[in-house]
Formats: sequence, structure tokens, C-alpha cells
Amino acid sequence: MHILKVGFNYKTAPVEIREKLTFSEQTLHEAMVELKAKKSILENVIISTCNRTEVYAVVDQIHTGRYYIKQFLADWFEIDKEDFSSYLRITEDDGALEHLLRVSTGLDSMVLGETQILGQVKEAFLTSQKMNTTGTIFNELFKQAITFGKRAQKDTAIGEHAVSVSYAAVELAKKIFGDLQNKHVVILGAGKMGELAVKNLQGSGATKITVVNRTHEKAAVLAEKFDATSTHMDDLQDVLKKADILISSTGSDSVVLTKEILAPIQKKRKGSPLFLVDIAVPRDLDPKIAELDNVFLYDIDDLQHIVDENLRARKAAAEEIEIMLEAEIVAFKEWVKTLGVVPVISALRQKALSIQSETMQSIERKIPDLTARERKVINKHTKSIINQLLKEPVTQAKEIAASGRAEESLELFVNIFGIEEEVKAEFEKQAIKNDAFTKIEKINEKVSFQMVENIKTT
Amino acid sequence: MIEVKLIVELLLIIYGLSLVGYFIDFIQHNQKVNKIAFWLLSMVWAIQTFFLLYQVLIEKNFPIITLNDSLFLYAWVLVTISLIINKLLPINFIVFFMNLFGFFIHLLYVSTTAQQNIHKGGGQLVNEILATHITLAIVSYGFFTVSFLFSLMHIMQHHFLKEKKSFKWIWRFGDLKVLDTYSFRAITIGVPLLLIGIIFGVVWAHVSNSEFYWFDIKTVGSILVLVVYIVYLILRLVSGYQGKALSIYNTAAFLVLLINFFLFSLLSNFHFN
Repeated sequence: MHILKVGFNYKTAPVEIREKLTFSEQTLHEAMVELKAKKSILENVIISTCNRTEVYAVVDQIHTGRYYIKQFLADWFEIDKEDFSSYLRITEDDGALEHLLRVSTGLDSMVLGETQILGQVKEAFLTSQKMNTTGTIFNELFKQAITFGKRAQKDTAIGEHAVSVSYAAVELAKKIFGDLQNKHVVILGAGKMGELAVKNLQGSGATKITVVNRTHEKAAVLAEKFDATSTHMDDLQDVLKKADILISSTGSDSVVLTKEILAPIQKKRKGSPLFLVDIAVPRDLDPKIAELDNVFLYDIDDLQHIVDENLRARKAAAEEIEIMLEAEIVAFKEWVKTLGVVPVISALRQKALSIQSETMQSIERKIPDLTARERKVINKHTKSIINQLLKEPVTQAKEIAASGRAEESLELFVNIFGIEEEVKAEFEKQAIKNDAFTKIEKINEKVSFQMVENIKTT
Repeated sequence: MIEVKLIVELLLIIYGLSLVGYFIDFIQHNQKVNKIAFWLLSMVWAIQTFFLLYQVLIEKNFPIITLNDSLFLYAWVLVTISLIINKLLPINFIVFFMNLFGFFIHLLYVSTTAQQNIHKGGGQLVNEILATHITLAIVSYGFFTVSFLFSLMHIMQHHFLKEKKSFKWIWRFGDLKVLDTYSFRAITIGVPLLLIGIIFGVVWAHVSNSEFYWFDIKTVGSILVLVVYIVYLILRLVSGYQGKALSIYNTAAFLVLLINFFLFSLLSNFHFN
């Protein structure tokens, strides 16, 4: 049994390929069900976003798994395998584990440390659970990956602070005003940049927006688009008296606002902070404006500088996460190792309980006039003997399963107690229950331990 | 006597809290606080009315004979009127000032009564008034200190944001405007506490027969601190100032407070000397 990841992302495939091979949200669940019906695929989760399409699967054999997943992709998207095979990146077992953990922590994202992907992983997992395409292995693995993603966000600075210029501006604005609700934003210049700025600020909660432009018509058009007000450049000084944030992006060759103009206005504002963002090149706002108290002037380079610094912080956090990640992989593998012991323990218990119940029947035959109470007491005490006797072996079996030589030791354990048949029966029972294991065709005594062994994959 | 003293003290505490509530409402126009203050004041009125009825109906004594008795009636009338105004007229300022005055009168009544009954344990109450005076003043100083620290952080954050260098600190420091607001709020709580504290001080000086100088450096110092912070509130609320300049003023105000606390205490021979 192996874990496979088959897929591509923004690093390996150009957008022309990615857009052709993206699962739509509406059909994703159907895709998972269909993939599950393929031979060799025991469990699967498909993560599909605009930057990546990745199929995670538990397969019984690597080569058949690879083949059937590729075949499935070709069938689903109705494309020849040759057309996309070269873009696919396939990783197995440890590599697949690591990749999933990197994806859910945002280490594999285009914007390092972005947090949206964790939500998408969670969404994909929930869908697969709903469609019953996961089993024991993925239920554990994805839960672990999602928890790890959350922990990485909480414990490190990976998702902290903006790494794009526009968000850096929004973040600074929040640092000055607390929140952007009811803040008056003035957009100077009705160009493309201005439009982008309005979009971003509206997304962050700003509602009161005024567009100022040399030609009033243009301002009016942009204002209408965003439910804002518009005014002519001549009114700028009046507007500034009540404004909180000014974003300037005119195409002007010379400075639009000087310190001399702003100083008397700022005096009338009585210390109310004013945040000026100059994203125009050449600059619209006189750099000397920054000398005024309670006025914060940031140009495009300042914002870029913030972005660079934040990115550096994210990279440092990413290194921390890399270390945590290794520990997660080890923990998961330990868990997988203990998987084999569960049927052994329940088989042992089953056997012991059947001995006890046979003994009870024998007692009842030999002493037929036992009262109900006496029967209860004997039953309780014989069970107690079993439990006490099994306590230590069960603990030891768990320890053995987590240790290095699990396979041999567990085999010895099974032999000592003579429960080979029961273990086999337990495995069959578990396979039916999980559904995921139904495709293991031949179950022999060793299969359980082979499963354990295989997943270790060196 | 013990129970009565307990009720008297409880009354003073409720009255004081109500006063702080009215002050905060006065500064921030906070309807919720106003409602709480109103209910507290209603409790005060209920207790006062009970005492009044007790005197009139049980002791058959309408309290206007002595100056002291009339003080009680006076305070009761003030509370009654301010409750009516609070309910009927939308003029909040007058309620606050009436209560401030009413509190002073009530406290004067309580302490004068205590002074007259000094042999029956009233002396203890006089001492407690002194203790309350000092405690309230120190608690208000606590709030002023908090406010000062917020202002200091505001100045630092302002500096960081201007310098555009220490972003690591910028993200970790509080939001500029929030720091400013918290600093203001701390003063909003500190001022009424100090005001009540000073009222206690004046009343104590009146009843304890200790040598009291209006021109003692400690008295002047405390009143100066109060005035300095009231000026802050005026600058903020009436003139509408905020931001860096006001933070610097607040820092200077704290300096005045420190001077009053340490230096003037050395120079004055008040309180426990």
C-alpha cells in the first residue's frame, strides 16, 4: 500500500495547461467518486485550485496507481495522455506526505505562506469524506495536514503581513486608523491604478470614497462604478480637510500637492492623522510633506520596501516550518506503523473473550442451579482475569508496532498467542468496514505486516 | 451604629460610581453608561428617601432644624431634581454638575454628622474619609499613568511610521489612532476619580479640624494636576485636537503629576504629619 501524489502546479505547468485540467467545483465530488471506482485506487482526495490540480491517492501498487490516475485524468478531461504527461509531477509515499504538508502550510504556494490554500485543502478533504472516497489512511493524514497548517500559521509568522504593494498600503492604513470603516478615502487620478486602489480599499471595509480628477467626467465614471462621489481637482483642498487617506496616481509630470498647500490644511485638521500613498511615477506628492506632524507619506518604493521585508520574514518562518514538517512526517509514519497492530489486538481480545464465554457455558452446564447473581459474579470475575492477563501483552504489542522491527516482532506475538486465523479474520472485517481495503485481493497471514512494511518505504 | 455606618459608606460608593458614570457620559455621550449611572443614582435616591421617611415618620422630626439636617435635605432635593431632569430633559451636562455638587453636599452632611458623633465612632468615619481621599487620588494617578504610557507609545509609533524603518516594531505596536483613543479614555476615568478624591479631601479638611491651608503646596498641586487634565479634555473635546501634539501635552501633564506626587509631598506637611 502506497501514497501517491499525481498532479501539477504553477511551477510545473503553464497556465494554458492548468486551465484545461482544472476540476470545476460542481463536478469535483463526481470526479473523486469516479476515480475511486478505478482499479488499484483505494482512497483519494483531489485538490484543484487555479494554481494546482493534484490527485492524492492511496494505491495498492505504485505502477498501477500511476497508470490509472493518469488514465483517469485523460478520460475526465478528454485529452491525450501525451499532452499533459510531461507536466505531471508524481511523488510517492514520503515525498507525497511532505508535499501535502508543504501545500497546506502555504510553502508550496505562489505567494509564500498564503493561507487560502489551507481552506481549499480542507474543503477538498471534506468533499472526499462526504463522497466516501477516503479511508483510514487519508482520514488521518488530511486531518493531520490541516491541523499542522493551522499550527504553522499560529506558531510562526508565515502568514503575517502583506506581501503585495496594495495590501501593504491597506495594512499600513489599518496601523494608523485601527480600522478602515467610516474612513474617508480620496483617490486622486482616475486611471487604472486608481481603480485598483478603490477595489482594494473597498474590500478592506472603506465605504466613503471620493474620486478627484482633472477632468471631472472621468472621475464621475469611475465613481459611479464603485458607488463613490466625484469632484474636480480644484476642490482637492476642501476634500482634504475631511479626508483620512489619499491615494494619488495621476499621470502628471509635476508635483500635484506641495507641503505649502497641505500645511495650512493639516493645521485645521487638528492632529487628525492623514495617510498619503503616492503610487505615481513621477511622484505626485512633494516628499517634504512628510515633515508635517500626523501626516504619513509613503511612495511606491516605501511600500515595496515593506513587501520585501515581509517576504524576508516569511522566508524565515518557512525555514521554521520545514523543521516542524519533518517531525510531522515522522509522527504520521509512526501512526501508520501502529495500524497493523489494531487487528492483532482485537483478534487477541476476541479469542480471549470466546474462551471466557465457553468456560461460562461449561460452568453453567456443570452447576445448573446457579442463581442469576452468582452467574453474574462468576462472569464478571472470569472476564476480569482475562483483562488483567491481557493488559501487559496489549501494551507491549502497541510498543512493538511503533518500534523498528515491528514486522518480525508482531509475527512472533501472533505466533505465541496462536491467533493467526483470528488476525486474518479481523483484517477482512476491517477491510470491509473501511471499504478502502476491499481491493486487496489476496489476504495471507503476512499481508498485514507487508502493508505496514510497505508504507515505510525507504 | 455599625449597620448604619455600612449603609452610609455604601451610599457614598454608589453615589461616587454614579458620578463617574455621568462624567463618562458627559465626555463620550455614552447612552449605556448614562443608563447605568441613572440606576445607580436612583438607588442613592431610594436610600436617601428611606432615611428621610424614617426621620419624618418614625422620629417625627422634619430635618430642617439644624444646619446639618438641612444639608441632608438639600442633598436629597438635588438628587431628586437631577433624576427628574435626567428622565425628562435632554440636557445631560446639568445632571453631571448637579450631581457633583449634590455629592459634595451629601459628603459634607455625612462627615459633619460623624464629627458631631465623634465619641460614638464617628471619628473612624472621618479617618476613612481621609483614606478614601488618598486612595481615590492614587487610583486616578494610576489611570493617568496608563494614559501617559499610551501617549508615549503613540509618540513612538508616530515616529516609527514617519521613519519607515522599524516595521518589525510598527506591526507589533498598537494602532496609532487606537493608542490615542485609549490614552484619552484613561483620562476620562482618571479625572472624575481625582475630582471626587479632592472633594473628599476638602470635606475631610473641613471636619477634621486640622490646619488646612488652601494655599498649601499639596492642595495647590493636586488641583493643578486636575486642572492640567481638565485642560487636556477641553483641548480634545472642545477644540477637537488629537494626535501627536496632544500626546506630547499628555506626557508633560504626567510630569506635573510626578512633581506633585514626589516633590510636593516632601514640601508639604499635610496628612499624616
